[in-house]
Amino acid sequence: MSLQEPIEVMKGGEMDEFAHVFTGPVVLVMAREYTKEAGSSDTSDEYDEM
Amino acid sequence: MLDFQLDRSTSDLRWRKGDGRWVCGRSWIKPFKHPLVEQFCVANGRSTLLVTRERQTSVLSAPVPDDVTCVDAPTYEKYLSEMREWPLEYLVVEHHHEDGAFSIRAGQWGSAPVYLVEATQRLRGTWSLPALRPYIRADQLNALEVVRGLTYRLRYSRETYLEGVFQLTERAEAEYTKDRGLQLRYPEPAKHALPRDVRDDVDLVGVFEQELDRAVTAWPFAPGETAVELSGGMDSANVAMTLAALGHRDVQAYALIFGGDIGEQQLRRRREMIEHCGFADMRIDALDHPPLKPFGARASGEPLHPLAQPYHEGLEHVLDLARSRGVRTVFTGDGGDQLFSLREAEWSALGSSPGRNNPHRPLPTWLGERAVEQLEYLDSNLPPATVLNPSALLGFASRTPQYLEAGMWQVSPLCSPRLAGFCEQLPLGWRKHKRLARERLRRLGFSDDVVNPALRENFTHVMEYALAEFGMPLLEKQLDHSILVDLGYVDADELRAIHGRIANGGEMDLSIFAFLRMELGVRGVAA
Repeated sequence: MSLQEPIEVMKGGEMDEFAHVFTGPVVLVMAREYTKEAGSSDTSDEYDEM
Repeated sequence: MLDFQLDRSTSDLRWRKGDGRWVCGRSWIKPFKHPLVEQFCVANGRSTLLVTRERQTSVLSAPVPDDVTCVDAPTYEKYLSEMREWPLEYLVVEHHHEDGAFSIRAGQWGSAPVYLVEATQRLRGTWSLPALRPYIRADQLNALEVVRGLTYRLRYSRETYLEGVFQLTERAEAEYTKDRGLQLRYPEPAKHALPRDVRDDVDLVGVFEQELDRAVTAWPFAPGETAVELSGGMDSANVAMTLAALGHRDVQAYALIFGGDIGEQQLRRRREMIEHCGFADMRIDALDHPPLKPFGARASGEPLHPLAQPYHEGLEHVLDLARSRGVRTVFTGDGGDQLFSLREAEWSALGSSPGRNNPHRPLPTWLGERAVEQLEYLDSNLPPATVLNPSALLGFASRTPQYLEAGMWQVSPLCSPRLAGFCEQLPLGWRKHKRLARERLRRLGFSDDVVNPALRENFTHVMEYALAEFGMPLLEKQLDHSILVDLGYVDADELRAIHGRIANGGEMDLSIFAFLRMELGVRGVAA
């Protein structure tokens, strides 16, 4: 199973800590992402700002 | 956050406190001494529970005196349960009296990782890899970890580059018993939420500020002893602005200044931030303390983590200066990149790819046969999904020891699981280019120079200078008697050819640093 495949869908209620911010159910995955960059650059520069 | 030795052969079951450590026969546990770290020890006649944990603001002090306290079974269980839910960094050691076994469990933060190595009848644990020198041999390296380090394809794992030395990863449990020795167990995978749409009329910047407040105030604040890394980047800037908004004016800011055009931009932007915060400021020029500088920690062969950050040498001077001014705690912007990171599928949809840890970046051309053989196994034996982003955990492993060596505790509120839980649900448009963090600074009244700087402020030109001045002669010298070459991880002929091309005016190859860092790291720790 892909780590990005949804494993659980929470349809709101007390467990949805951000129900006041977002709409729709919380879709949970078992993510394992090594991405660090936030999108400020598309270069291959490994020496970031501190 | 702990230094310890656990002796499985001992028949002594009574732990005592003395001389800054708990002792039981030949076993001992020494917690890191810092105002933000508290310890306590309870025993119920069947087991002893020794806890070291970060203090929470909402919990004013340790629940029991700073000594071994005998409690009944329900109270003991209450403490055990409390530690399973502890929201900040912690490490617990439990000594089971019946069979003399020990169990050690780490919290979800992984911000001050402990390394474990099994010796005769004893388990040695410490936050400092160099402290394990008596157990380390330079020819017993973990091939996969060495290759991950050499190729910048780092993976968060219990394996370390030293065979037989393990990192106790987040939420993992180690058992040390008479029968089976050391056994490590990974936890269940952490769950993460996918992005959702934002409700109409929600003020996302306002929510972000509330969550930042909550994250920053999780730890008690110590006036006069607190600094904030304020590089000028979005991450540390947002942490600093929250400290200021909370009314903490008694904070010292510091930064490594990069020099050149980006240094001028950095100084200009930081000046605006400092004026806003009213913090005292400390600055050190990065070009005065570049990586690999002669007589610096790395070039001198001091035992460092082999993946110690490129700015280790500069930060050493910053921390010395900060300590001389009474700083004991440092707020960092670590975790900011991960907070707004894009998922791999999102990068693909944009037709782009991330920079650091980019799985598609070219491999060094100087890998030896033994290294090449390992490439297909890079994603082997990994832990399940972690609570914090694994690249943040990798950052802690390479950075935290330097703070602890300096007697300081680093606090990284942008790694807060709740804050991360909020940000991972943001639509891509609010995460891309750290839009939410920038909008927050814009709302605080900062100029466009601060919010959207024209130049990217990073360490690249400092690294290029360092490699040209110091890396090249060091490379020539190291290749003559390289451990990594002898073990087959590195092709010396190819590295010599690269050296020759650069010496004849060719372009600098930044991958040289990966070799030098690992070579000097292995040599320093395993000497």
